[in-house]
Amino acid sequence: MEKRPLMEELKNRTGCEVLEAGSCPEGQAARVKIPLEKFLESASLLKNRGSFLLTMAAVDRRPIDGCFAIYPVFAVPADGLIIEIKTLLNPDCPTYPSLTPVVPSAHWLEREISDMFGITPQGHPDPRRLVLHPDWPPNVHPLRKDFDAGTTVLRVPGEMEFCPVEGEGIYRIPVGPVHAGIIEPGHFRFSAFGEDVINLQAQLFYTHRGIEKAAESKHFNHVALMAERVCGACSASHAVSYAQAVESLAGVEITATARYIRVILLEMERLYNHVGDIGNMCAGIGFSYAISRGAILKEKLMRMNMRLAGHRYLRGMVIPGGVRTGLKELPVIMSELAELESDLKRVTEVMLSSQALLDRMQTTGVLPLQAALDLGAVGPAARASGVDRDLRRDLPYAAYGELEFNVPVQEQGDVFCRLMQRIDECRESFGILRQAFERLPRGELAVSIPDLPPYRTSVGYTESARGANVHWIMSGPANTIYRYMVRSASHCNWPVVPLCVPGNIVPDFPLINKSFELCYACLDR
Amino acid sequence: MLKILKGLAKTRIVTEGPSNWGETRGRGLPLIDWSACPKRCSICQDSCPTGAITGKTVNPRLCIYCHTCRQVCPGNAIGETDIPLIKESSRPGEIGSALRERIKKVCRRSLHIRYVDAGACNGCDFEINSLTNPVYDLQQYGVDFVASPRHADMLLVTGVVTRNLEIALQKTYEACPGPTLVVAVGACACGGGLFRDSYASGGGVDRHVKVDVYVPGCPPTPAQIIMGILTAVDRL
Repeated sequence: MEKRPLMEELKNRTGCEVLEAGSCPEGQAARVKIPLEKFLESASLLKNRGSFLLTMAAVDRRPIDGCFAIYPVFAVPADGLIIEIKTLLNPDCPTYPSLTPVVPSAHWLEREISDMFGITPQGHPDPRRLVLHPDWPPNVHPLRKDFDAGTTVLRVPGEMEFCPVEGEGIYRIPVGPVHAGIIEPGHFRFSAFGEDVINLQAQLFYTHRGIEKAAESKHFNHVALMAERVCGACSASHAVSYAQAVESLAGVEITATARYIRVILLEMERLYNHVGDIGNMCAGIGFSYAISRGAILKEKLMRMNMRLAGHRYLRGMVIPGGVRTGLKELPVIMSELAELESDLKRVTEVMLSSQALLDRMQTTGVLPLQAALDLGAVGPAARASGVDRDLRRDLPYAAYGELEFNVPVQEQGDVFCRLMQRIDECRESFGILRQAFERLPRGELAVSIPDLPPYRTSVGYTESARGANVHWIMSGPANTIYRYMVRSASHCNWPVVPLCVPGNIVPDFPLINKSFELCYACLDR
Repeated sequence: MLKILKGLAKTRIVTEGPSNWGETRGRGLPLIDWSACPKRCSICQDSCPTGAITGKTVNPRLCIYCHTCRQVCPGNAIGETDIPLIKESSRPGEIGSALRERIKKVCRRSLHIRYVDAGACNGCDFEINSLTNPVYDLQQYGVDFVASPRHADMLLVTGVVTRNLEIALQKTYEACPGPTLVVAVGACACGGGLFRDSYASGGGVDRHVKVDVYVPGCPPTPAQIIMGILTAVDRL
């Protein structure tokens, strides 16, 4: 009953048309159509009510009704509500008032929409290109429907646009896209005075594979395979997000068995990521003992994944409608996990007693709380700065609503807090896994998905090891996907990384970068 | 410090070699049993998301091991290979010593690898990272990863080669002293995987540089990647 006032206020103030209001498997969802002139007003109303932006998709609806449209999706955790706004835009010169001045976390989303659709957000503070590299010709917008997915795009001469940093003794240090270590590609431009970083800018989207375009007009089961391959280290999380979007669009409720198995998969994924990261963050300070121990524990977890689900990255398990197979060797894995928990505890105790580690990590790469809130940081990085937000608790999905767990939060927002956050979250994950293993009910693994109603939208989300992975889909005719939009945790967190680096020294950048442990593939798609 | 020493002393040797790899087998390459295969049926071929099945044979370079074909087959005629290895003849026990011997002889005791991500999903990268963990410990064979292509004998390439990384891959290849071995790791690098035909991707490594060895898998396990490296050294 709580949700009424917000919806009523929205209706009164903006004259919106409620397209759909009802429940989806993950909670309450409402879809409203808002005229362009009321777009900003409704967004600020929602923002004042404590909502945050989950994702924002644009769609080329010209083949359907001759318009472009934008769909920002807000989550209102206080009301347990997800509100999707739909605003139609003029097809000849698509433009709308930019959301960024009101909701700063939309800034990369809007730049992406501008690149991929040629839709101009008017009043955007930074209208530079984001996704498309300088060698893309102008007026090529890959996600428009008149752009064929297989087109070969010509290269044109172009220069990367970096904000100039000038002054005596300022050096520019270009790094990447191919890095020295075994990490993904991205180009970083440091402006440094001596060892102190004055400014850091990044050119990302090197691994842009065009996944969203490739998914269009494919069967929804085919797209599920693509969702798993958006990112290796969040395969399960992406697959569950996508599956939930399809299920809520089809109005299907999955079985309890499937929900619990999904929880186990998601938590195993969180564990191997967090344990790996706890070790790997020590690679930023050259603490070999912790690096090796972390790597051993991670390898053990990966092998448990293999035995549980037949895949080290848990691929091929989650399908729209449930899960494909049951889990194997559960009792053995359960006892091995208990052993691993105490191993991890021993390793972290040793790590935290090292003065060298504290010296390097404390007060390094601070992300202030306000910046994290404004820019919409998610996941452990945001919680390490004091943002008390976790989709597993705030808008429960799968079986999380029935499980008991805490959401740990730190305060300082430095590298050390991000390390502690992961250690704390591992403890909670072990607890969740214990409960899920005990309660895992027997029963049907999957339900069949009926034909999808065409041109409907839906959103699915999970809290992955890095934060919220939000998948937004719009169905097309004959069970195909008309538009697929992935906003990964890395998409939310990449914009905040360059904020944390100035004021630190260049050798601290790898450490800060590792403490966020962002994925390039998730962002670039 | 004491705690670290105690921890070190307590940890037994975890390093494995090919004779005692503790890897459990994962999904194998689909194998069509022609005798059980229903006639005039092409359901597996039509349902394969990457077009890896043509004429009832599976192309390991295109397969992403999703096993969709096994689920749709009306005759239950599709099994899987034991472990999706490219080199069937080599027995695991011999691999370690063979690799060490070859590297000693051919590469003057050490093989240096430069790794290039040309648009992968991160899965293959994580597995390549696992090669250097204490369990697989690639360094035990005299193989190591180097920071610069100038020092590299071999390029380990993952990913579909996106439009934005084509030039980076080309430049890295050209910066390597010849002869450069190229090993394509993962389904994307081998044949383009799911995103082969996209506007932003270049359809696999061999469309851009000459590939010596393909390591199929999505992603291949660390043991498979080590096998791939051995196979490539064999070709020198």
